[in-house]
Amino acid sequence: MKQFGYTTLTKKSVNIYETDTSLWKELSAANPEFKGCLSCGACTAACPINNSGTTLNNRRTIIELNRGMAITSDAANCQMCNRCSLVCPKGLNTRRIFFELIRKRTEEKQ
Amino acid sequence: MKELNDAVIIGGGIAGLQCANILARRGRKVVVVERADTIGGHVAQWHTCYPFGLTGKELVDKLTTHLELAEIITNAEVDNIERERDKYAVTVNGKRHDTRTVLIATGYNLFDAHIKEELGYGVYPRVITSVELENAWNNNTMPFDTSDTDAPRFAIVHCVGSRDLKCNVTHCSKVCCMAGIKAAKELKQHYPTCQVTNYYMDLRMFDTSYEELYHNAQTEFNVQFVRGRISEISLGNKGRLKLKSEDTLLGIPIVDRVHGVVLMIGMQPPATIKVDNEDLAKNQNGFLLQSDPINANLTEHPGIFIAGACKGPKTITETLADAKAVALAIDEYVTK
Ligand SMILES: Cc1cc2nc3c(=O)[nH]c(=O)nc-3n(C[C@H](O)[C@H](O)[C@H](O)COP(=O)(O)OP(=O)(O)OC[C@H]3O[C@@H](n4cnc5c(N)ncnc54)[C@H](O)[C@@H]3O)c2cc1C
Ligand code: SF4
Ligand code: SF4
Ligand code: SF4
Repeated sequence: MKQFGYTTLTKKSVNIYETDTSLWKELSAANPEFKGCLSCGACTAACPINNSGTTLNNRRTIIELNRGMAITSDAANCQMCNRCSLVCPKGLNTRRIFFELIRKRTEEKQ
Repeated sequence: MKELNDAVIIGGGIAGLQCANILARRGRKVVVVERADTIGGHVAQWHTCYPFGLTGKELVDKLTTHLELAEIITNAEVDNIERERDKYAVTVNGKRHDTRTVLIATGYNLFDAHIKEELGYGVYPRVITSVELENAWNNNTMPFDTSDTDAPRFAIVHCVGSRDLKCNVTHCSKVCCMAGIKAAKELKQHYPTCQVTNYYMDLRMFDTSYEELYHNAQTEFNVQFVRGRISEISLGNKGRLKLKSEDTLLGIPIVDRVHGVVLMIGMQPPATIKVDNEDLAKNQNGFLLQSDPINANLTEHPGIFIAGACKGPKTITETLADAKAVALAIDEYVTK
């Protein structure tokens, strides 16, 4: 590809009819308020870890979970400082998303 | 002496009927001229009207309490109004009706979905319009055959023929975000195991309880909302439809494969009405122009009034309020 002066991304289009949404179903059943996210991004804007240049992004994580796509945030980066939840207009316990993801991962390791 | 009416109302949709009913109740002499063979306009076709939950027929019936006092002419289209000093004449089926005032309540035309060829309407039977969905519920039929699956997927496409320069339309049709979510909920109720995805550019949930409808669709009915405009619908495997879009909140192109698509078709301006063979003034979107900033129902012709969706897209609540306002304006006009 180099010879044409550009490189292609490995990320292709996603077939959302065949993705696995079981994790979303599980998490949103336990935390129904997750479903009401407006994708406004206030949580991400308030997050010091996102603002310091990491990929940690609550808004994006909720959509990725909902679509059954790969999660691009590293939940382990979350400091559990709760700033995100303070600004959410829909009252989501936004921090809990990463808390749950860390918990899932720990469970899987055991 | 020839009979002189207080008002001739062109269009027997909810705008025309609300005004006719009020004027008739107040003893005014009113004629309603309706192009179709029945009154009620578009609303008469809707299965459930948001937010009050009445059927379109129930709602229209509420506007007919005093209509036996008015003259209703159906199957008659008006395109020209003649002016004679301080009154007007409207000729219907060869008969001339003299009147002090004319109300234009001609509503809107529906966008013809064939024009957006990339969406496959008229090519794939599983692509239907929002109006066909309402008709299916009215006829107690299921709009999509899902006998070959336990988990059907449906897509609702917003802004079809609205906010689209390719169709020469810049305006937002206003009600179809709400109606699109209403449709998603109804699909969930009729096909309990289905997944519905609404593809939108912006969600315009402006009115009382609209935001709650959206919240409810997300939390109770698990409707999925993808911000992205469908670029193309084509035939996929097993007769399924393939939809392409970008999930713009993620920046990722996505492909969906569904058993049925509902196109939320927009509202277009109604056919032109002429006064002495000259078109009434239009606004930048081609709907009839409100000529006065304070009095919402005036045109540049004294005695010719406008109300309802012929002025631009309106909800039922807005249409009924506008029609009530015009009844007062006409009543005052004929009193003076
Ligand atoms: C799919 C869909 C669902 C909707 N659902 C809702 C909802 O749930 N809640 C809500 O608030 N709103 C809803 N709306 C909006 C609603 O349909 C409008 O608010 C309403 O129809 C406006 O009423 P109207 O009387 O101004 O116009 P119309 O309903 O268009 O009536 C105009 C009448 O005038 C007649 N006419 C036109 N030209 C002439 C002529 N030259 N001579 C004689 N007669 C003529 C027409 O035949 C028609 O009967 C929906 C719209 C759509 C497209
Ligand atoms: S709790 Fe985690 S996600 Fe929320 S603001 Fe703090 S670091 Fe960011
Ligand atoms: S602040 Fe709340 S509503 Fe906004 S994106 Fe974050 S979780 Fe969603
Ligand atoms: S109301 Fe919604 S679907 Fe209808 S034209 Fe406006 S933005 Fe598009």
